[in-house]
Formats: sequence, structure tokens, C-alpha cells
Amino acid sequence: MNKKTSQKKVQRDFAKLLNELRKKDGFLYYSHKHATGTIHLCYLKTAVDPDKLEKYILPRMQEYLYNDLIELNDHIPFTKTELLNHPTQDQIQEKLVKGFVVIYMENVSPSYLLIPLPLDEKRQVTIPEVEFSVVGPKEAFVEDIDTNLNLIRQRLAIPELKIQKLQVGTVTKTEVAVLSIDGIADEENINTAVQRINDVQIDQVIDSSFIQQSIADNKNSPFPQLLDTERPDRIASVLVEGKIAIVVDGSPHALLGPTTLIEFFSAFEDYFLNWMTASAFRLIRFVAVFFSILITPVYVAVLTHHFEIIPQAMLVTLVHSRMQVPFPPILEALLLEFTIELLREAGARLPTKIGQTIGIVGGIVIGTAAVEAGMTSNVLLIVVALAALGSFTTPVYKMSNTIRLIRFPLLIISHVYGLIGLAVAIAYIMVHLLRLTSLGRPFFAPIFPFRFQDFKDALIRLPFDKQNKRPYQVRSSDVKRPAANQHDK
Amino acid sequence: MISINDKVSALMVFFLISASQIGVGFLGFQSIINKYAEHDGWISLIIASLGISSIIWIIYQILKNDARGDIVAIHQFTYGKWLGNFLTLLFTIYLLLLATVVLRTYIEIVQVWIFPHLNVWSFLLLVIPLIYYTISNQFRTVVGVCFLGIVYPFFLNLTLLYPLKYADVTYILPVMDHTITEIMQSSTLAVLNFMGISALLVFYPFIRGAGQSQKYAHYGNLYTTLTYLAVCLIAYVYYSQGELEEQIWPTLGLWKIIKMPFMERFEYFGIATLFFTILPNVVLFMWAATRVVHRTFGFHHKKVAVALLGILFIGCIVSVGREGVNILNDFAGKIGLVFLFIYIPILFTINFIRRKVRKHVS
Repeated sequence: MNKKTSQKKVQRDFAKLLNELRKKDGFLYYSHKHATGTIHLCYLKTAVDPDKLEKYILPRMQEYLYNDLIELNDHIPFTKTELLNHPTQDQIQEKLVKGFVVIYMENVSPSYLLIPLPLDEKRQVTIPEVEFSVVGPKEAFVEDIDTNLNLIRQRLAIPELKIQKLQVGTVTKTEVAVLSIDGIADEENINTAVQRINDVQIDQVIDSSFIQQSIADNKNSPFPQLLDTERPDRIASVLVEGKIAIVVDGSPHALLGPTTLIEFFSAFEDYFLNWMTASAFRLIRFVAVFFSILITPVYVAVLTHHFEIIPQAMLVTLVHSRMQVPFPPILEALLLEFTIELLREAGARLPTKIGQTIGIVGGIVIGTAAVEAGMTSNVLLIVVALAALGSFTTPVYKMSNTIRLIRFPLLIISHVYGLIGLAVAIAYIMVHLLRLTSLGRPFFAPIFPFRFQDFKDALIRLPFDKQNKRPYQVRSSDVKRPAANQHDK
Repeated sequence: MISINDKVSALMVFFLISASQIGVGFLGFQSIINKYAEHDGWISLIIASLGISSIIWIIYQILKNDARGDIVAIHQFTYGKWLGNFLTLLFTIYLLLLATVVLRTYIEIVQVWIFPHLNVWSFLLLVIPLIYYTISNQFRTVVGVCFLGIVYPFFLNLTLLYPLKYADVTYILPVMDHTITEIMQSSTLAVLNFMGISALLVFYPFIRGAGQSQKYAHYGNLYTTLTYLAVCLIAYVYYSQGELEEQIWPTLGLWKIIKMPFMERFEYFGIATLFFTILPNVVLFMWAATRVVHRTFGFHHKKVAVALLGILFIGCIVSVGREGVNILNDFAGKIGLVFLFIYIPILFTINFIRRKVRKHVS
């Protein structure tokens, strides 16, 4: 008796639900009389893969003999199906939007069967474009989190790989996975990351950058405090080092941490070349960065305040090139820096093919014309172009943006206080870097706190067998490399 | 209680000690110690350094015996609460004086060599927020500045080899040409350049395994001595006695003759780089002063920092001109001499007696 009334209620609810859902665009509903009773099927046309539905679900519903939904479920070749007895309207609606097919059968319990048949519009795994490397693996992450996790798992097919799934974003409810290797990664790092991700209070997580900015140690810093990469091989490698990785659904960039300032200047290709070449390239990159940040401010400081320090022969060249220029050095420099930024921004916003044209127009036409018109000196043109080139050698895009940004305050202070002001400004950056942390670990390591061990893979990269300990930075619970807890014990 | 995360390794004592000592003195101490000992000034330097080493030993003997191990605790234990706190306050003023001397002398050098019309306050407005930014955070940041303050300007030492081309060794011969008194008199002048070790009395509890760090303190002092000795000897063989008497900043004069294809007048660059050497001095003294006031009276660390930086600002502004800076330097030198070589041994003795008495009572 009781059972019957409750079944009635379920039927009534379903009728109500149908009325509600019919208002939705693209809603489809079939009912089918089966030997054991009427069976109803509904889904959203735009969310469901029609091929799969046609091929696997509909034939099985008609052909097989089954008494209730549990039996039907056994025939269906999909995992992650759900059997529900008395779901709320909201529950059903949520599932429909996610691409589930809802099957309702009268007078049985459980009365609802939900089958996930989402329409998979996935980008194919392609070669990395931002972090391109000539040698080494050629796979890059895509937007789908399962594909990305799978790419990492293929390289780390070990049971110790731990994946913790979280949900962030009050509206988007985006899936976020925290990856680490059991027995190598430090628990404290994992807890810090998980804790911070859980504490994030935003409504949308569209890309991993949202997480990167939300869980940064210091949100008011121009420096990124977690490294982002599109290379699964790099993620696999740092996981083995003892770091942790964060993969976000819908983002082709994974995050890794705790990281250091120096790590931002190491391209992953460094590990594919022999150690001498790799070290040399890395050193060149560091020189390029310092050059890129300092050369224009030094030019402004020296020409505005202390031209005594330029030797006579060189002064002649400089003065000669500046003879026609009506502006003080600071205006001249700002003008050119602004032009370069303009070109970069225009090139970045436009499609690749037009972008190249912009580069030619900007680089050759504007540059030459500016010098001939006497707006800037050609020495400064060389200096600024080299500085821009230097900033592009940084392998991580977000860091190279930072480098270009901090040049502007340095330019202005050099104009006002000369070389002394420049020294003070560098001291500001230095103290800022000393205060920064990444997942609670010092960002300026291994320079300070000084860690000799970590220098083996910092400014230079020593051979792999010389790097016999994991970086101190990550506080790995298994310091020795290769791992001491090997499984052939 | 200081958490383990705020502590730094014992090796850092090396950098803390030498970074607190090497500062503006580096540019001009040669002509100061030249006053009595003349070309034997470098011997005075060694004697001053040995004296400082023994003071470091005494300081460690005092600090080792107290669990909380800083000057506030020692003073309160030795003299009781009221007198102890009063003496601590005097110590704070001494630290502030040191910071003012360093910063004001640096500004003086900038004014004389680079920007004659630079306003003291405008430069201070640039630097004081930086000092606040450094000392308002953990002690780690201060140590980091000290560490980089030693490592980064290291190459400046190498540039001083250049003037050796014009060296004349006979300028420092014959050795030991002066009486012991004269050499000792110069030593007392040289001590000003070593005075930074006073900060050890405050940062001691921040050292991991502080008891074992003493050797690093001595190494730090040794590094300072060797650096000074090198600069001193180079200046002495480069300048004649007559020239030295006229020079106020002999090191800058040494830099002046360095010529590179893309750079002349190296002292401009040298003075700018030297900012990284004087910054550790100032931040360490200001941090120590802030910490001491915070420990004694329990005021909030950041508020104390703001108040003390205000005093530093005023202190730098009121000392006007070359004479003002000179008076400030002489005064600080005398106070430091009294503090290190008279007060510290007295403190040690009284503290020692107090401990013995306390032990007998209990």
C-alpha cells in the first residue's frame, strides 16, 4: 500500500518534471511500451552525442528483456551510470545539462537511470606552441582534464601517483586535480595547495590562471609564484623531483610548485641537451634578462646625469647620434619602449599571419623612419630592440611580461635619481623577491636561503648523475635520488 | 618564542657579522687611521680586529647562559627590571645612532661626488620606505639583504687590483716605524668600522644552534679584516703620505683611475653599487632597534618600526653638512669604543657574578 502511494508520487513528479523540461530548447522525449511496462527517455539534444545514443542505448532498450532498470544497466556498455530512486527536479536538470540521458521506468525501484553520453568536442593533442622545443617530446596539454591527466599518467604509470580532485568556482564548479607522488612529495606542500584551493572563493574558474592568481602567496606581486607549463613531460619530471602539480579542467596549462625565480628561466629543453650546452644557454638567458631590465635605465641615467663615465671615443658616437633629437633621454626612451610594447600587443592580438606583417612594418619601417625623422637616436633604437629581444628569451610567457613591466618604473627613477636611484630601485626588487614565497617556500632560493645542493640545477645544469639529491626547496620526504624506497626490496 | 621558521642557519652569522661591519667606512677609513700610525695604519687595523674578536668571544660568553639569549633578557636578569630596561633604551639609541651615521655619511658621499644639490629628505623618502619594507617582515628578509650585501658587491674588491699598476711598495716601509701608543691610537679610530657587531646582541636567538655559531662570527670578522686590510694596503702603496692626508675618501680615488673601453670614472658605478653594502648596515641596526623596543615594552613591531624610522629621518636631516657628518662619525666612534670595550666587559663581569650568586641561593 505504502509502496504504491510512493510510486504514484514518483509518477506525479515525473509528469511535473516533463512539463517543466518541455519549455527548454532542444529537449527531446520518447516513451516506449515495453513488455514489463512503459519506459520514458529524455535528454537535451545539444548536450548528448547522438551516435552513441543510436548505437548503444536505443537498441538495447528495445531488444533485451529486462524487468527493472538494474538489469538494463547491466546491458549498457558505459561506466559512471547512476541509478536513482527519487531524485529532485534540480538533480535531474543538472544531469541533463551535463549531457546525461535520463531513463525513467514506471513501477520499479530504482526508477531513474542516468547514462552519461556527453558530446565530446575535444581538441586533438598537438605539439607545444608556447614552449616549443626542437628536441624532446612533442605533446602539449589540451583543454580536457581527463586527456591531460592521461598524458601525465602515461609517463608516470606508477601506483604512487596520487590525484586529488577538488571542485572550485561557485558557478562553474570546475574540476581541479592536485597531483603528487606518494613518498616523494612533501605532505605539507600538498596540504598547503589543497587548503588554498579549497579556500578559493570565486564564481568562475575558466583557466588555470584563475587558480594561479587566487592561491598566490602574495597577490600584489608582479611576479608569478607558480610556474605554468603546457608540457606533460615537464609536469612528469617535476613530480618526480618532489614538486606538486595542479591541473584544471578547461585549461591547456598545468601549474607546478613550489617553484623558484630561477626555475622560470630554465627551458625544459635544457634537459634534452648535454649539460654543457644547456648550462651555456641558461647563462645566456640570465645575462639577457639582466641586460633587458637594466640597459635602457642605465642609458637614461648615464645620459641624463653622469656622462662623465662614458669614455671620450664613445661619447662622440653617442652625441653624434643624438644631435638631431629634440627630446631628453627619458622621453626618447619611453617613446621607443612604448612603440615596442605597441608592436608586441598588436602582434599578440592579431592573427599570426597579419602579426608577422606588423612585425616587419614596426621593426623596419617605423624604426628607420623614427631615426631619419630625428625623433630618436639610432643607438637607443639598438639598445631598446636588444632589450626587447632579451625579454623574449625568457621561456615562461608570464615571467617575460613581468620583466617588461618592471623596466618602466626603473626608467623613471633613473631619470630622477640617476644611477643611485637605479641601485635603490633594484634593492626594492631584491627585497621584494626575498619576501616572496611559493606555496610557503622561499621564492629566491637557492640564492637565499643559500642552498649549494640546489645550485646543481639552477644557473647551470650539471649532469644527471651529479644531481644525486632532490632539491632542498621541495622538502622531499625522500631526498636521495634515485629513490631509496625502491620496490625490489 | 621565536618559531623555527624565523630562524636562520648558523652559517648566516658569517654574513650578518661582516655585512654589519663593512659599510661606508670602506670608502675612507684609510685616511682616518692614518692620523697617528701613518703608514703603519694597517697594523692598527689588525689590532682593532683582534680586539673585536675578543669582544665577540665575550658577547658569546654572556649570551650562551640565557635561554632567551638577547640583550633585553640579559639586562633584565643582571640589573633587574627598571635599570635593565633603562640601559636597553640607551642601547636602542646607540643602534639608532649607528644607523644614522651610516645613512647620513652615504648621503654625504652621494652629495659630494654625484649630486651636489641632492636634498637629504628627498633621498630619504626614497630609502626609508625600503628599510621599512625590509624590517617589517620576518628576520629572514633582513638576513637575505645582509647575505646579498656581501655576495653581490664582492666584485668591487677585484676592481681595486687595477690601481696596483701604480703601486710603490716603499710607501709602507719601514714596517713598525711608529710607537705602540701611536698604533693603538689609530686602532681606536679603526674600531668605528667594526662596530656593527653590536647587533649580535639582538639577533643571537634567531640563530639555529646559536651556541655553535661562534666560529662563524669570528670568520665573519676575519673576512671584514681581510677586506679592509687589502683596501688599506692598496691605498697605502698607491698614495704617498702627503696625498693620503688630503684625501677624504681614498677608495673612491682608487676607483677614479680605472678605465674600461665602455666606462670611465668607475667611482660613480662604485658608489651606486655600494648602496647594497650600506643597506644591510642600516636595516640590521634598524631591525635590531625595533626588535629591542618591541621586546622591552611589548609595542607592535610594525608601529615601533615606523616610529624609529621617523627618528632616523629626523636624525639624518638635522646633521647638516660635512662638519655635521664628521661630528656624528667621531661621536659614534667614541660611544662605540666605550660600549664595546668598557661596557661589554663590565656587563660580562656583573652578569657572571649575578649567575654565581643566583646559583648559590638556589
